[in-house]
Amino acid sequence: MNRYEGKVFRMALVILKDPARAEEVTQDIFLKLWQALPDYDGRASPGTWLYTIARNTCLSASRSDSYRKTVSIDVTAEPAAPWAQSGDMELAQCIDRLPEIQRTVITLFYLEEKCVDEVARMLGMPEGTVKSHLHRARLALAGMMKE
Amino acid sequence: MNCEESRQTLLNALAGSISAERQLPVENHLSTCEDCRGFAEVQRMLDVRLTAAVPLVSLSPRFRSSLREKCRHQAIPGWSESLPDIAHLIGCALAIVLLLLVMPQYSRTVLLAGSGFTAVTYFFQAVLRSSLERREA
Repeated sequence: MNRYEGKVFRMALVILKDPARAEEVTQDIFLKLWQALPDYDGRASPGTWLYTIARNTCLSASRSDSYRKTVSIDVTAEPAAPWAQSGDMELAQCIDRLPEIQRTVITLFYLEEKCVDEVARMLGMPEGTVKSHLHRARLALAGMMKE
Repeated sequence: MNCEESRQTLLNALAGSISAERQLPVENHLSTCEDCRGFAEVQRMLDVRLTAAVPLVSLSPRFRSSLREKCRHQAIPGWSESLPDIAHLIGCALAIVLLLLVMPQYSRTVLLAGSGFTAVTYFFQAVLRSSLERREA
């Protein structure tokens, strides 16, 4: 648990963009893991199994949150977490404008100390796909900075 | 190495998946191509900026205690946790049977009163237990 709680929290934060909600969902994930432990058959590695449950729980929470929220279009809105905490507001706002998958990949890449294989495991994607999203995100960010 | 290959290799290098020896042709290309040099400069600066801006995120100190609490509430009660209920029901059933044997003429009343008493005491026992659990939490 020590090894994974921070990673799961960061994944939840990137998907849900709200620290309090991410922590709540991280608790739900570990609760689900604890309940599902008797059914774990060892076919997938513990990390893969954990990340699958974590990803599905985060996505389901994100869907239910966005369903509950009323849609508001506010172009001057503050950037979402976790970049909202960074001192570089211009960069944070550019990251916010990226497509969801690129934003997720580039954020996790930097949060996970530039480890592509860890991001791939977390998102259940091949490493090549992660790199490709990362490259697109970098090109898009460079383009936005030029504007 | 052409511009496309050079830029791809540079992006791969920023993703941490290129050995130093494979970066040498890129550096050679950059020394001769101004466009790619500009591209590399922008991308390297962006990487530095992202690395510097990445926020420190961590769970709150009460995460674990709160999780333990949730686990405790979610725990499926085992048969041993139902022992007080089982003992209570068996005790009440034995008392009813005994009273039926002693007072067979009042069997209807004994059955009704016994069932009512069992239900009421079961309810009080449940309330008492849940309030004790809440106090422990």
